[in-house]
Amino acid sequence: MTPVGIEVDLASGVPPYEQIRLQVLAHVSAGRLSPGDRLPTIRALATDLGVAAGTVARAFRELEQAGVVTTRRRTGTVVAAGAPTTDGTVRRAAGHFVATARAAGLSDEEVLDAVRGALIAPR
Amino acid sequence: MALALLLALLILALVVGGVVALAIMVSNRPAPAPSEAADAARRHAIGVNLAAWVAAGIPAVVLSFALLDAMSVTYDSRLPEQDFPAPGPLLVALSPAAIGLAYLVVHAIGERTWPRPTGAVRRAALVPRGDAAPRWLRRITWAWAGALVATLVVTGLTATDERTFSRPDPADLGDLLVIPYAGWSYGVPLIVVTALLVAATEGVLWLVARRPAVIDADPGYDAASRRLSAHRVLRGTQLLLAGSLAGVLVVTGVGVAMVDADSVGIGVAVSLLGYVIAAVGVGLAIVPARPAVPAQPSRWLDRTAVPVAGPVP
Repeated sequence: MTPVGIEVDLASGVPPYEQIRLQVLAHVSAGRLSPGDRLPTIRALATDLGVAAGTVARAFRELEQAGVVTTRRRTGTVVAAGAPTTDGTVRRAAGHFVATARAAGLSDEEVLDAVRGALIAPR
Repeated sequence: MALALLLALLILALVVGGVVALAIMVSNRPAPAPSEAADAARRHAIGVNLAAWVAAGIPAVVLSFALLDAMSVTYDSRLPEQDFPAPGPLLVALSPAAIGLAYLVVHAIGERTWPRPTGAVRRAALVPRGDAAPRWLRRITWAWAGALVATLVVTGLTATDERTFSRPDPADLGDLLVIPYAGWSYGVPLIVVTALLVAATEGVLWLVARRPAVIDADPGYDAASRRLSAHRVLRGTQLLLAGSLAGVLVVTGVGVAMVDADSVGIGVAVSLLGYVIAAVGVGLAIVPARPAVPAQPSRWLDRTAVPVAGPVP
């Protein structure tokens, strides 16, 4: 099974902690991380990404405050039972849309632009 | 007795030399490199492994000469009785300590200087770290350590005094047959050193489990790389512990067989057990780890990572 990964661009205008928070949230929302799944320790993730432990700690703290993850003494940080997940139909539609956009040669940013455009369109 | 001890030490020295040569040959075996970071990690690991064996070899050679020097004696035919002197307890305890700690310190430095992530884009897997050490090899290492401590406790309790074992000479009433023996003066420092080596090994394994991951390769590569490093650490430590245990058993067995006519069978059995343990230790040290290393690059994170972009409005 392919492990779930995250990617942090230090040259991006988005702070690294925010990138970590968004990507963990996205994985939970997409169902790739399920309630009870363990996350790596703050120190291990910081070592792998080559960022300060405080950066990862801030991302995890904000995720915990949002109810996405919970920290237990014995098991460490795990995905919370009540973490928000996207409806299966919407998830499949999103997957289909991304696959179509990539097949058309769109970059990730262009895919997001298309979604933003759809979101601001009058209902 | 002293000749047997000398021979046992020479055999152990030859065995260590053979293991070093084999380890170098095995380490130089080319392996597929799935990515640039993995290739850098592989080069680093090979360098650390070679440096560790070299570092362990230096005190091994120096202490071998010191042990031989401590056991050498100039015979004077005018003197009625002369015995081979035994090496001092400190020297005996220093041998495994110096060799093992040199080996483990180099591995520890290697883990602390493991290639760090570079570049603006960093990737990581969102999975918790597992224990990388091969369980069976770890158990064997602990078993050698436990058996060595137990043997030293037994020899300490059965020794006639701090450093010898003696029995009345049946051929000469009133005289004693005395042999060097692992009494408490040898046993206590060796037990301390054994505990130190096991603790240092666990410390290095802890570092192996927590070093930066090789993240631009298949995730199996990182796990295999950690397993290989842990295997190398345990391989060297178990060899040292097995060698120490074998040395104590051989010396004890030969001594008991020589000094106590009723216990020749036990003495020979104990000595043979020592040689068997030495052979097993060498065998385990020679057998290389063969982790399944993916031969092709893997862009596993490209499919799973979320695009690095700002939040959707």
